[in-house]
Amino acid sequence: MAQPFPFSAIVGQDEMKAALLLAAVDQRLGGVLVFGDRGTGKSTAVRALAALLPKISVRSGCRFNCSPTDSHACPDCGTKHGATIKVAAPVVDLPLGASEDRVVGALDLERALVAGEKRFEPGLLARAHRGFLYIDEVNLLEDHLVDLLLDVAASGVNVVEREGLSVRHPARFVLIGSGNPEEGELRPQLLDRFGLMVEVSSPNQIRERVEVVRRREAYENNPEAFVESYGKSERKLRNQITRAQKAVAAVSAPDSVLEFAAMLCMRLGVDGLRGELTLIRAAKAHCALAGRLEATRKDLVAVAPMALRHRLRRDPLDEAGSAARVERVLMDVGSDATLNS
Amino acid sequence: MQHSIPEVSDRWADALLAARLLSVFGPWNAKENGNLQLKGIHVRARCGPVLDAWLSELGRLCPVVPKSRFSATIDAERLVGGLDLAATLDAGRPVYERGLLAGIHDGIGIFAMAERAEPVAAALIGDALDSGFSAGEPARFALVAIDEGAEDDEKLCARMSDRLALRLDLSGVSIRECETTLAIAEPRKLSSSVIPVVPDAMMDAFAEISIAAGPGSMRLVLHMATVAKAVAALEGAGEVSSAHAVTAMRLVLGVQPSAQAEESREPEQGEQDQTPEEPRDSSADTPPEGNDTQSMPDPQELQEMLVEAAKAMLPDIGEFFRADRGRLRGGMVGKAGKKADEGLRGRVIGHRQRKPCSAARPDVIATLRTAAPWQKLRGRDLDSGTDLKIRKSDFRYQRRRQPTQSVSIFAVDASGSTALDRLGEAKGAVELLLADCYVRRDEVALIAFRGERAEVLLEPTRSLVRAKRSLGVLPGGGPTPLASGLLKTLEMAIGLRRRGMSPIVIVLTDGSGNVALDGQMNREAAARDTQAVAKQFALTGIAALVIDISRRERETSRQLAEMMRADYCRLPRADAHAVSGLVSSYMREG
Repeated sequence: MAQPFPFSAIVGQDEMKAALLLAAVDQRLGGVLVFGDRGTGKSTAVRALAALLPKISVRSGCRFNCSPTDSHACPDCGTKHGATIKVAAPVVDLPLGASEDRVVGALDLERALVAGEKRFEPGLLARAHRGFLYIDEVNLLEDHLVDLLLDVAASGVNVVEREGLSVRHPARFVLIGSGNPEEGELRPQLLDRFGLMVEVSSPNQIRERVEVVRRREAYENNPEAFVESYGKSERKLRNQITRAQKAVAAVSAPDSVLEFAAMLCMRLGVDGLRGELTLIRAAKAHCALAGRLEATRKDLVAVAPMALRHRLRRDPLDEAGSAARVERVLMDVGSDATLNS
Repeated sequence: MQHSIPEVSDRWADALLAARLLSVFGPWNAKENGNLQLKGIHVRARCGPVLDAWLSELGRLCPVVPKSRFSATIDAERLVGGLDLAATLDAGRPVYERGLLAGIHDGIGIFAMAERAEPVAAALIGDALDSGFSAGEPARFALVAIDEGAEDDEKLCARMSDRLALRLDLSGVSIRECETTLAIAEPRKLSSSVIPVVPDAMMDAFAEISIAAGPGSMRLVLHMATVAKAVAALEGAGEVSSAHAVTAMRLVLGVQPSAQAEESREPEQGEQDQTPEEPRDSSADTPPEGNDTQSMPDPQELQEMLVEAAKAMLPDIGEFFRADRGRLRGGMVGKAGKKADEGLRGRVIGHRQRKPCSAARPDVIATLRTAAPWQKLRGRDLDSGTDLKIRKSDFRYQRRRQPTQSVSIFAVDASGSTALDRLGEAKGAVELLLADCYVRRDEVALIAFRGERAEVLLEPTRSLVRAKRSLGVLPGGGPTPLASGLLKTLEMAIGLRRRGMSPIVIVLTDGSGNVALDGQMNREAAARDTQAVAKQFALTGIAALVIDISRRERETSRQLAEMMRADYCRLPRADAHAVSGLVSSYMREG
């Protein structure tokens, strides 16, 4: 396969890049939803991220990407113990119109027909375990698949009961969805499931657009040389992610930051606790990426728009997921908090 | 030389140029051309001799490149390949079928009826165009998407059209022209592999034009730059001149010079391979020098000139792209013949022998049950063998029935007689219904009629964002073209039904039209026309509801409902909540 366009060579789109990095640092954040026009580099960024992710170790022969430290996690690991090998973290595409069989896995028809053997053929969910599941045009996804994905994403386990098969295997992945809001809305249940949401648009500055085209041209003329020229910044970014992944569990958040988060969510009228939890988690990941160990209010402010904009109570006469509202409240709460302290 | 034959229209000249560009810069030549490549052409043309002539010309220009023609009815499975069930059974070992996309590697895929492509097929093709791979196999090809869409809502979906660099419109080209030019275009080899340079000012101009085209895709800039370089390289130029750039813009935007553009810019009307002399328009006071580097006007001027040229071609480029951004939903046009019970989802309603759709898997239990009685006859040793003898004819597939999607079309009387506030309430009702839509996965459309004719304010959509944008400006007042309002509604409803949806029409009116279909203010003619359209409504059997919103009860709207065989109800104070509640319950009951 050709080398993907380097992540650090993407012009602008800072919020999207930041959100993807946060999701790579803390898998439990709950994924990223990228909404915006066609041709704004959404897919490019996700594929670039795949090349950036640190490798994961698996047992060879395991079709479910189980970690070698898990015991008997999947049907394969129960039967054989292969050597531990390092492989690239999976970034799996969920194509529009994929059948349920392909997503959850099904009876291996080939084996069943030829060898008469009843064997489970893992689907995309198994392949995405410990990696990323990328859904382009998530708002056009069939309802039944959306329900299924939600269920698996929430439990981290894929249970298959069909065609005489009974299989369960772990499926913990980071959902990354992209789509164009003009093509249809997303159900709020699915919206809420995404940890972070960012909105992208094509750059409206001539300079920036020209830079995009120039880099794209350079990449297309000679992919190897172009990727090589960004090798240093890519390595730096990868090391940053690896360090942050190790450090994130140790990051602490002082009470003042937690209170600030609570106040923010209350003011915005965010339903449920999921928003608040994600906000704090994202702030910690942000802090870990910066190489610090104690989250500050600044971390929180930096991630608040992407963690909260899609959780505001829905008002049919207001724009869906408005970042402006979050920013406004941030300003208010920020000034109040400074007065109180 | 083409310009020596005056009958050749610009359109046909551009078509030939596009074919030649593709023949030289097709992906199969990427290596020789330093990776400068064009991945396809979006051709808007109806089936006919002109299209045939163009295709055969394309074939003549690239004789050795394999071509493969497929149409929108192709299964997604065929595009990427997979296990061939029947062959596997016969052979007793897995037999794989190679995907069509991988099969046209280094070739041209001619995609007929591309506007009817299923979203899945479009997604697969788009992905292969981007990555050059399909199902893990190399699939680097040029796509010629033939878009036969007649109506505005029948267009190549944006997922594909956005990725194709060139755009052609063959409508209006006469048969005679294609004959005259067939002998002219000859294959050309690129003289040098040096890729022409796009000057900074020109790139700025491309970027500016793409910004004017609206908040769309970045691919437009990329396409313009690539095509400009290709046009220049075809002439052996080392740098892209303004004439190349103008030609490139024309080919990428797929437009013809309008009348006003002709005046400012006649030199480069059709021809590229004439002299490398610089055709100039507004900057005529800086004449081209005969030197190699083709003296450019100063950067600022060049940028302004190109932007002007684009404006001359397309006076309102933003509007052009809004209208042309393909069908937003990306779905296929027309699901004629596709029945609601042939899907992969929904309740199981039985079994059948034939595959209901390509992605269907055989039902194992039902298949075994069918095969069981035949085992002895087929010579299976019941005592020892475990080998089941299963034939192709034993396969059984589940039949499922899924509910079809409904679309409510609001036809709202926005004339003076029903007053503005009704329109406001109808708008409110649409928004309330939309807010509710994600639950039921239904869509809403809005048609308003006033003045001389009816206008579609909102195409069927599920998107609040879009709805609000369209509903923002809402005209009101004037006479009542009831007949034309009903006609437009009927057309939309029939179109939607053809696509496999179930339309429900809600007419908000007082039932008295005073403008006939031809736009004349004539009460009698208006009544006649209304009656005729209402009868058509009754014939099609589309579910409809007439809501009488006149302040005093009148017979006219009840009569209208009867003629349309529609249900009738009276809501003198039509408020948004009442209307949306009524429609909701109406839709649920079906």
